[in-house]
Amino acid sequence: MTKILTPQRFWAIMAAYGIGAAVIFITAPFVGGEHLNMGQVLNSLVHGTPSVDADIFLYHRLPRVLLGFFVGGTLGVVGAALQVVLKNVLAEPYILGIAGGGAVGAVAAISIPGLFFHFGPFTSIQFLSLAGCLFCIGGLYWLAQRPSGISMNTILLAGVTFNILCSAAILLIRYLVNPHQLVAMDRWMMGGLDVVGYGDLISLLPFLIPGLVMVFIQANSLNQLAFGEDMAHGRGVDVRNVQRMVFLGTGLATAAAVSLAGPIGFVGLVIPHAVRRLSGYDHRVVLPASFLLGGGVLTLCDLVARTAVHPTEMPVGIITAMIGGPVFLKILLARK
Amino acid sequence: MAQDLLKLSKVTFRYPDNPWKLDQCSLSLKAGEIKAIIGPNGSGKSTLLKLAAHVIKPGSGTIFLDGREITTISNRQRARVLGYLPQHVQTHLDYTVGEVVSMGRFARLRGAGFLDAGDLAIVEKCLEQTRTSHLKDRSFSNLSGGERQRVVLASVLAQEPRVLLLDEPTSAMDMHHEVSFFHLLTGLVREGMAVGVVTHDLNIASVFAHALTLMHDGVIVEEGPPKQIITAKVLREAYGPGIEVVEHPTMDTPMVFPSPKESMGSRENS
Repeated sequence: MTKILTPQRFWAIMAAYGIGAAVIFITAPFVGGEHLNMGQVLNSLVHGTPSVDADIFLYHRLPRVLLGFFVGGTLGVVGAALQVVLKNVLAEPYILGIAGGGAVGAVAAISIPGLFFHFGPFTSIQFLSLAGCLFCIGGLYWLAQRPSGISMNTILLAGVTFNILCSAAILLIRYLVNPHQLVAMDRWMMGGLDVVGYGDLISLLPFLIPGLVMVFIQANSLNQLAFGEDMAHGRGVDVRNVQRMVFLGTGLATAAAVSLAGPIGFVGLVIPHAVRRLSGYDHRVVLPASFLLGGGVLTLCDLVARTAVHPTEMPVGIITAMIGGPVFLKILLARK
Repeated sequence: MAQDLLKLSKVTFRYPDNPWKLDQCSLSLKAGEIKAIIGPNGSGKSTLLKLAAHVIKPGSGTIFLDGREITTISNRQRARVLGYLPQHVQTHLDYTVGEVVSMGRFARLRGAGFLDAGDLAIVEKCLEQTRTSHLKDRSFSNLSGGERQRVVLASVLAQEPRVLLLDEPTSAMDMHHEVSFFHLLTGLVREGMAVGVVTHDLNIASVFAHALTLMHDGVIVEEGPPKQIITAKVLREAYGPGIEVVEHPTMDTPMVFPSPKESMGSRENS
């Protein structure tokens, strides 16, 4: 049983998750379909001698592992926070249609010629996917603000509705665009972490970091909110402010993740579920632990995705869905 | 003269899309006093308590907490003076009882809100006061309704409030625990706390409350000591027929019991 959280306990738990995540993070770039000569890589890194192996390591493997870690971690945190404010352990950006909203924006930017533009390090994919995520999250916030309060099922049905609408919008875009763009669109929709270099990664950070910070600073208030708005208010929590910060923060962070990696499902569901099982329900632990475990697990999934069907690759979204679907069902059945 | 720790004057409230309203209610809670708020279903007891706890904002009227207008106080400052327990506190997450009670320290802590030895001692004391120490490592969600109510009271006491607002805090308790709950409240007000409690148990209110506030249809119809409120005439006007009043066999307090006779026609609306 979980004890009351003290700083010692907190750091001990974080150390355990941190070591696990670090092991995955450090080993993952060295494993892949193409065998790398480590001697050459290190030699090149230290002395600057040009080598293909070092280039693969530095510009393909490392950015990909970094992206996988950030995206997985972000989805874990976003799922954990939304599950509290929406009072539903099945809440997750993919199931709630938030990722779908981001996907509509991103797909529109990718495939409609007039909508694609660059703005400094950013592209319109990020802006439109942000708009899509915030639109769907705004819809959920509006539903959650009903004077009578909302039932857990309403939120899930809202997610189903958003997903249907987003699928329809994506189908419409597919119908209208040039057929040769369909392959690129499909690959993006399956979720993938293939990036080259660090430009894309860096352009994520201005959305990702403020989004995550906005959620993280609410960790202790989220514990209070888990007992209902009235109770949290009585404890001294500024309930409206916490809800707004969480919705906006999760919107920003999800948009950042989705714009680059596509709608990767179920990480936000499975990870917080596992973290709460492993180390209790205090969100001062749940949020950072979800980041570390989510990052580690998605990096591992991506490792499978890029090695299992070598010499080609599999979109990581397929793997997360294959793991996540049954877990979703298990939680649903456990609630009955 | 006891000080008014909480004072509502002429507050009104109306829910959106609902013709029902709370009209011009004035209520004060004094240190050293338990005030029971009674009245039939839908009379506005919980709404009045929510207004007092500043969970909802009044349409008009003012609320003073410890001499300061409540709107000028921050949420945390308010929570250090005023503890509020809504009806049916539940959670979809599986916290332990110890965690739930320690959450009561929220408003007194800064930053990440970790508890130090002093805070932990207060948590232990509150668990003892509510006789829930043995439940400390149990899952809150798996407790019985009455146990849960004692645990959430412990968590509100951990706020160390001077005013306590409780909405049907004993609705799921057996009689023994309900009586010991009110014994605890009696002890707390003796130490200077002010308690406002919404209850449907008129006998408990009559025995333990120093003053009763009777509500009906969104207004306060009468206020006073139990002897003045717990009379057949006053109660029938608010609740309708079906209530008889007698004297407690060993105490100087009125008691109610259900009337064995058939209802004598419908309540008059005056």
